[in-house]
Amino acid sequence: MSRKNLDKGCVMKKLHTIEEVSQLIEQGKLLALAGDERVLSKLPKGNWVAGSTPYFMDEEKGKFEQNVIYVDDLSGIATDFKVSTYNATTIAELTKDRFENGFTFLVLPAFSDIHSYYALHAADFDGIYDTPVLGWVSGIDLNSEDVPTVYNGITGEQSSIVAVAMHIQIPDNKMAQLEILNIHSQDPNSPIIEFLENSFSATDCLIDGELHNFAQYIEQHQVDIKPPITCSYSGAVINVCVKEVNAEIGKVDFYAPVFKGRQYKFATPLANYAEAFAQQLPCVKQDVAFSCNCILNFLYGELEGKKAGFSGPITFGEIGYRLLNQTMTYLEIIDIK
Amino acid sequence: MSVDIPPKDRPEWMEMAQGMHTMHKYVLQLQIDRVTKKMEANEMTLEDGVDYLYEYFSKYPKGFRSDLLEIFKSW
Repeated sequence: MSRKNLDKGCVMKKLHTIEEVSQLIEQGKLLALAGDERVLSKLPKGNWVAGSTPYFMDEEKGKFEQNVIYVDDLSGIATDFKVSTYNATTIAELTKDRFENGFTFLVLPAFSDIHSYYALHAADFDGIYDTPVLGWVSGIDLNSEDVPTVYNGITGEQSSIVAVAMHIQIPDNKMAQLEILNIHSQDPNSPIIEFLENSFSATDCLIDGELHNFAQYIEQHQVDIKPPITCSYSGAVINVCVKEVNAEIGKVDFYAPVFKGRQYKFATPLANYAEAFAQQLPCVKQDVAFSCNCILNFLYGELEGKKAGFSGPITFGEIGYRLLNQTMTYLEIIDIK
Repeated sequence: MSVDIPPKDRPEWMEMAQGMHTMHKYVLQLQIDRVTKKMEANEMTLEDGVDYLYEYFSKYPKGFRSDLLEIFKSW
């Protein structure tokens, strides 16, 4: 489904009420939304996609809000768009569905098969790096029994199984550039960790070349598991966060997969997340079209009530081509002519 | 600098495909990583890697100009 010649306007962003967002939808705006499922499920059909999360970073500070919706209005930068949903069988088609010049905004429901599949295989999708694929993993109020959900506003479909993507075309004289801000860095004193298979969990691994049980190693060495383990992808430091360590059964679960053939290191623990964001936040030349940050940065950094990074939803995983953890992603639209 | 990107026979392209240059843009770091990993796994030759990168940079010469300038200095 697509519409050409979308009306031009400024990219704006902030938390809105249901009524305000409904008005934007009725005006035909092209919207990427984030909010609690109780409010998203009340929105009318229209040109929007969304994912569930009640955690946000707005212009002032980190917030937990269940009655408002975070809005990224993409109307001003899009010349065309289409919305598609994907399951694990069809998600690799995502790269073929993109516009030649533009970007894709993708939302995956947390803890679903499509979440796992994308995390394990996206880097191998044909042409994945040709134009930006960014987005996030939808989540829930951590003190609830809610289910992570994504929404296709065109059809009114909501799902905890499929991924929803909004493919956006931008003018020929513009280019979409996706960047990340990872405040975590590799600990120079960390051993080198090598995993034996591509997986969201690990039992045995090589640590400085010797076989160890990873869970027992973490326990024996009292490794702080709040900072992620990290891997350098030719300079891009990609995080994998530890979900649970069970030394009794010798298993560590992660929020993103580790990959065989890569060398990981523990990250240096951070004393102050908000300060790290303040120090490292890039000076962008133009308005940031989209940004999001990780729930683990929000929780471990105690960012509720503090300003840290660009505004955006606080998510259960970030997408910067591939699945990321504890990383802020942001998209800039730059002039190239 | 009469053309958008440096000619493909410049040795820096081969150096880039072998991961010998630090890239600043995130997507370029991922692209170099993809090429070097495929070469390590014998799924791609050095020549294929150069072709792949040259074609990619050709699509967005202005968007990646800062990284190219740092590596090639002039062309």
